[in-house]
Amino acid sequence: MAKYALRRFITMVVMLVALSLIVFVILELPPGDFAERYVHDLRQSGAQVTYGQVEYYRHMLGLDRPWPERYLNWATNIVTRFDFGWSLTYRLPVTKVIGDRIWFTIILSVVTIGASYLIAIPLGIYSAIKQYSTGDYLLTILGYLGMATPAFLFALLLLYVSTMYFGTSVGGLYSLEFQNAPWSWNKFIDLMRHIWPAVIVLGTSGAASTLRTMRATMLDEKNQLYVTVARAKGVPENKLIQKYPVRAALNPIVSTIGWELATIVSGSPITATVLSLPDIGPIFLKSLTNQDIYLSGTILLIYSCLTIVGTFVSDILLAMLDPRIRYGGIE
Amino acid sequence: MNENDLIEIKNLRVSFPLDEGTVQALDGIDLSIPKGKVIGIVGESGCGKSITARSILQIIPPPGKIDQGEILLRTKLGSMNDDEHIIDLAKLKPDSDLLRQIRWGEISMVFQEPMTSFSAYHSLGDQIMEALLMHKDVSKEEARQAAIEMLDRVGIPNAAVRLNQFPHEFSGGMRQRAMIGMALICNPSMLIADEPTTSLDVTIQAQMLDLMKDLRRDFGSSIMFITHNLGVIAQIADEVSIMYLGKIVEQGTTMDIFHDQKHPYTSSLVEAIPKISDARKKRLTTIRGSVPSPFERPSGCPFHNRCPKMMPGVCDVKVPTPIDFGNGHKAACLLYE
Repeated sequence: MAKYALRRFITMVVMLVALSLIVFVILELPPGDFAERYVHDLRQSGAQVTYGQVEYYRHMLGLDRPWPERYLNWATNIVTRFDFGWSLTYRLPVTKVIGDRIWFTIILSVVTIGASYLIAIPLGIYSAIKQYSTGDYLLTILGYLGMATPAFLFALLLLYVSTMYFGTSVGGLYSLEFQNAPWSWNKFIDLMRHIWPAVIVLGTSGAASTLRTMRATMLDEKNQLYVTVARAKGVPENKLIQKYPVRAALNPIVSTIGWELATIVSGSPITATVLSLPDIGPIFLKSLTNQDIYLSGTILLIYSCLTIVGTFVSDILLAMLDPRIRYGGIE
Repeated sequence: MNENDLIEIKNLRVSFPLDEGTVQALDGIDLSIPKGKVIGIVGESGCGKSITARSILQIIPPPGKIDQGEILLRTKLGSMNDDEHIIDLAKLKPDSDLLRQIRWGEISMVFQEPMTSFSAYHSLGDQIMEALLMHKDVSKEEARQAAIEMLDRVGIPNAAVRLNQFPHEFSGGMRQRAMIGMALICNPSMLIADEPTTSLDVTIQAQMLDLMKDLRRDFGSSIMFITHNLGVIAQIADEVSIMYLGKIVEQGTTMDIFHDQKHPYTSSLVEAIPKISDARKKRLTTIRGSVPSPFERPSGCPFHNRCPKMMPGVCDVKVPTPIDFGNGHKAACLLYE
């Protein structure tokens, strides 16, 4: 098991390096660079700019170096100093620009995923065991509604209801005193108090599809012969369901944790805008149009990191869950 | 209930209410299983052999249900003063404590598919020990020792190591051995073997039969042996019941069934056994037609439309009742009425 985890870990690191390279190359692909873009903007605002100035900016920003050299610089600084470069648009280090927002985004995603699994998995199990009962039909309707409602519409509804009927706004994430405060335990608690509307909005469709997946796989598993054998052995029904079919039915859910994480983080900019979440979505969009290569590169890298790390986590969990994967990985 | 009988099934009726109509899977079964004997249950696919077995443990697949009848078991379980008494299993709730004690504690079962009988997610040892821990007051370590001894007993080499392995690391034959071991670990008074050799190749089949004969000698359990293979029955059974469309059409000793059959269906089955001596001389005898759809049960005797001795106007009208030929040999056929 440890050997398997180590091997998967090494693969993950190699993947990350390869990805950072791909990210950088892709960002280099479009014609033009930040210097041209900047000079263009200056011209638009009426300033007199010569071509020499483009070259000047380019040299000053180091954009005239060949890309492999710039990539190596960027990558070395990330590894050695956790320095992701300089955001050309914001004239700030990338880490400063993303800073709080990335932590917020990650907390929000983890809480959302955790909450949606905690709710959806037991409901899915219930739905399958009581197939065709009133509860099952109710959950089925809720599940389809949850999957079919666009998150931003749901966000609007929630905003409307909370303002009209409860007189409070669900938008905004911190109480006033914590708005610009540095991260602390109290700020974290405050965030947890305000985070639930965002969690509901972002988590509903995921929870609904988890519920449906859990129900479907449970229905497959609960009539398998090994479950009947356990029943024939005299294992009590509750214990039996938990030990046998649930274990098997978790498999497809665990194996998608990796995508789930990235989907929610890079999720829906519209929802984030509606709920005025301090997400990294809007910054990402801006950095792309400005060809702010280090900022957009860093965000892209974070997104892909999350996918890769998520996949690593789900691989390890799967191996813990399923002996066939565990042994297949070692031999 | 006869003194020597462990189980007596009386007029058992099981049906499956499906969207397409109700399937009468068992249509009044009477069967007794004496202590320490091997009872063979024979019939074509879909005749209700497995449902009979599963009814005993109340593990009929949904939506099947017992409509009527009694399944009497002689047991010490659930008795106040530790004496033997008689329980009607059909009356117990599927999740009742008493029924759970009887499952595997008194009656255990080996299924047809060794490949899917074990959970792929748990080690073989875990699943075997679970059975013992559920029914006997033993420590984990004792259960482990017992499981190792049992695996050894059913011929799995290197049992202490194999115990920690997972089902996918075992071949089909090995899994069925482990299954038989698991079935015997609580020392039950009856073992139900539901086509335990069908999905195994012929050499492994022979090994399994030898194993079961040995175990029967050592443990003294009754065995209900379900199969569609008469050759297997001849090797292992003391008494045989022949089933057709949810009814027992003939029952008797193995001798009676092979050498003095009364029911035309039994005769057809026996004639259909390939014999090495006629291999070159004639075609294999078969039974005309196939088992009717469960939704269209024939009127009168259920076998009349395939029967070589069918009497028009009688067999398709009248329902036969079992006739006693002495010594427990019975057949339900209108030829003798």
